[in-house]
Amino acid sequence: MSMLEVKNLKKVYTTRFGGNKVTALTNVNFTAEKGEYVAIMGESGSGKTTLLNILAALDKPTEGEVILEGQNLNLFKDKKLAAFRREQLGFVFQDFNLLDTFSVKDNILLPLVLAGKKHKEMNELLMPIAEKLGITELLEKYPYEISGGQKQRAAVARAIITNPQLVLADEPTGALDSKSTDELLGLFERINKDGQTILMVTHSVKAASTASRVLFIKDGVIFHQLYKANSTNDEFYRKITDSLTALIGGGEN
Amino acid sequence: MNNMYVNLASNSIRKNKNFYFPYIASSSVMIALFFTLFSLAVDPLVQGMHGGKTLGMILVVGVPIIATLAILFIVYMSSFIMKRRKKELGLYSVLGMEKRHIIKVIFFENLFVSVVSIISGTIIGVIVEKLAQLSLLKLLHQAADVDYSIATDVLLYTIGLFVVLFVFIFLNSVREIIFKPTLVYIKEEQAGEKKPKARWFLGLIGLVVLCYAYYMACTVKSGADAITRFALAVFLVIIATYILFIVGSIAVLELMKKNKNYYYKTNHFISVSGMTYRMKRNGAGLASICILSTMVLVMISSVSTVFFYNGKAFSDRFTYDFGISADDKEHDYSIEEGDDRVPADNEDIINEIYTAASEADVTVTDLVYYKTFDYYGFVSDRVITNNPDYTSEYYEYWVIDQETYNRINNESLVLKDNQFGYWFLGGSDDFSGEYEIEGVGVYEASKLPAKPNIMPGEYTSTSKDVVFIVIPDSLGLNEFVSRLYADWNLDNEGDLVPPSENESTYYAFNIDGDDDAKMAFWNKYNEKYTWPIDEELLSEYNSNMGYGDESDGIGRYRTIFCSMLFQQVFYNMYGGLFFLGILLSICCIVIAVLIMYFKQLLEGYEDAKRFTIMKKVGLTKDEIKKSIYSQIVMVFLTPIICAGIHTAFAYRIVKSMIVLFGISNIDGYFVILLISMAVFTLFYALVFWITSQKYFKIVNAAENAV
Repeated sequence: MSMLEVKNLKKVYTTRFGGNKVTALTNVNFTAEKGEYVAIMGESGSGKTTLLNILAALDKPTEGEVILEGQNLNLFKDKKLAAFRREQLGFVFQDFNLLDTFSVKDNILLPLVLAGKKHKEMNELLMPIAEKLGITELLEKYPYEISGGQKQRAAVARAIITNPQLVLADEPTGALDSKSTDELLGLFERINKDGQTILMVTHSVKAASTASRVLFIKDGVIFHQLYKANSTNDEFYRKITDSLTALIGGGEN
Repeated sequence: MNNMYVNLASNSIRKNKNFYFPYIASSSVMIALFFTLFSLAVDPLVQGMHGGKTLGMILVVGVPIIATLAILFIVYMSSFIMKRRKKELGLYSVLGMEKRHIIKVIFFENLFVSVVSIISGTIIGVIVEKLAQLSLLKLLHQAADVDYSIATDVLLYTIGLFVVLFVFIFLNSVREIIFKPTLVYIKEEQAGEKKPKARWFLGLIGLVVLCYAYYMACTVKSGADAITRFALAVFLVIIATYILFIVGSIAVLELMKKNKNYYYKTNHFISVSGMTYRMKRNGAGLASICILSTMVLVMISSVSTVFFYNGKAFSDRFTYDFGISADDKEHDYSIEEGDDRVPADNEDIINEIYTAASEADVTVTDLVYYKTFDYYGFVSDRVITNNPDYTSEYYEYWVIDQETYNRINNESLVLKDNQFGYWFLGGSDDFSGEYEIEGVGVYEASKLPAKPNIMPGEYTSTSKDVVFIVIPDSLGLNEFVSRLYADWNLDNEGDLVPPSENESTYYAFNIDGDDDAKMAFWNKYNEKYTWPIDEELLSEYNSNMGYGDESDGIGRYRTIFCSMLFQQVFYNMYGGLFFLGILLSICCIVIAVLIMYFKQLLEGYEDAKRFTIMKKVGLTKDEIKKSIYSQIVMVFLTPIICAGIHTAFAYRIVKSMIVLFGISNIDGYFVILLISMAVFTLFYALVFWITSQKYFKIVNAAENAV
């Protein structure tokens, strides 16, 4: 059985002042295996973020279901959902979402504190991850004192410190310069190699080319996918570009 | 072209209405309060009342205070709003507006704010002033016709002052726009906060200063002491409050963070770091709320005590309704010969009193006459000095002889030649053993069986207490006085100048009946034996605190005292103080409420962001709400709790000052203080609750948008 199963997902938003219905997701189906690094590509408005929010259980689908490790997320109550999010999922956002009231260290420890871990235990978990992400020096600083790339690494540390089933990343490179982007993508590859399942939403080809599989979404439907197989990042990059030109670009013209 | 700027300005006011509306409303209130106080202070109607001049003088003192508060407040609010809007202004300039264009937009905004505030402020002011006039008259037990005229000169002053203020605010914004590079504007709002640092040393200083101020307030010994200490103590408390709120709170929170096992617990983790952040941003605002609340509590409770308890104080103080002190007709100034006889025309004066009473159709009761002598001094090292140091606590001594005491009190006291009898009017102290009455001799103190029924006429309320001293007849009042004066009352040639105080006899009596009966007697007496009472004479009595020096046309001078008139003067004074206290309190409350409101608003916008992040990270809605709301409650509880502590420590010093107003029943202060605290706390909670609604609205809107 797959680790993540998304079945017939449909999401319809009703605009606030009545009548107008906007279909964000029409019919989304896909699965992801343990240890996979999946990128979901699509243009703005294609439904990427809606999909991610539903996967993160921040939003409920209109129809269909999300099954993670055999558990149907739709059936969870609010309290259980929060715990689930905390324990099973890690998040990396475009705008980092670090809390400005906490130091970097406390931001990273937040999920552990919420889980009620002992302080000693926390430190044992923190240090190797900080080392791995190269943020040991930054731990005592506050978010506004560090650069975007550093913030994103801190956010990644926060996402993986609970050793979650799945890391969800929403345009993680969106706010980063190219050097920080490279660093971050390298980091994703490394933690993926260590066995971490990652699901990333992006419209950056470069970001997608580090994944092992790319899903293309348009108008709320997944209409194509590419496997990296044994190609290098550069080769995969070219493949993705070609597909985009043929499928999305071609469709528009 | 100008139209565009007007549009931009009105748009931005509309968009920022959450900030602008309260800003304009509170500015209006400040302007209204200023106008009210100022025009009451110079109101001819108020001036024309009995003792109105005293009242006017008290109110005039309040005018600069309220002006300062209003100016500081409006400047603070405007800079606060400017800060919030920097991003918007930066955006204008990114979109290609030059600085002078931005200045134009700001100009129209300021124009709108100032015109609306000043117009609505003066309109409210005129209405409130009329209401205040009415209530003031009522408060002071005076009936008068209301006049509907408006003090145009005061109106012009008010408008002038606030126009100048708003021009200044505008120029200040212009200065900032001109001298700050555009980019700074855009970045300013994103710059975020500096890392909160625990400044231990400063925090410690704050604590020490506060303790010292508390110590000062708690060790006050007398009213005079309280007056000299009060300003400094208040100043120190204000400084310490600001230091402790800004620095001390963070130091304590940092200490909590250091304890890892405490800090890294779900509840503590979020609230401690959240509190650190909040205290850093809001320390100054919360300290201001605390100070303002303390001021309101102290002002309201003290002026209410003075106002509501003065009636009680008067009845304690004035044993008799009327007092007449008359010189002897055949005045013998040769004190050396000794003159302890009751004046020859004693009967005449008494007859006058009865005649006036019967003609006014009222009854005289409790008529007594006596000779008395009063002087000031303090008791040090078993010496009753005659040399008061007015800056410290001193006593007021009233001396009568044994014969007089026995006569007016209907007692049969027998003092030995080496004894004196005493009675502390306020019960502030006790004598025991032998004392040297400076200049007179050494005597053994003996407590009197009862308070002498004499009236300590002109009684300065700054003294610590009144001490009645009864001397043996073998000594006699004249001998007592001449001994006392012997070494310090010499004229230029070195001759003894006889004191005149003991040359008159004091007649004191009550008139049966109500105030009208008493007034009827008073008018009749003056009409027959001094001068008919007219407005001018009455106001003279008033400004002399109920005393008048009158000649009866045949060379007999007398001082006439009417306790009702005395009370009238004090009604005016206390009423004025009460009124001023209420106005200033309203002013402080408006400021505190506005600070609170803006805090809630800002916190709302900031927490909205945090809320969404926390939710994504895996907190349930309830957890987030619980933790954030508990912080909000903490943040707003701290100032009121600290205000309560301040007020508690101020109890003694304020009490000592209230005593200066002649309030001897001080338990009343305690009760009124408790009531004030309870009412204020309720009011504070209400304001908190209302402003919280705004907060919830903002946070919920963001929450639903996730």
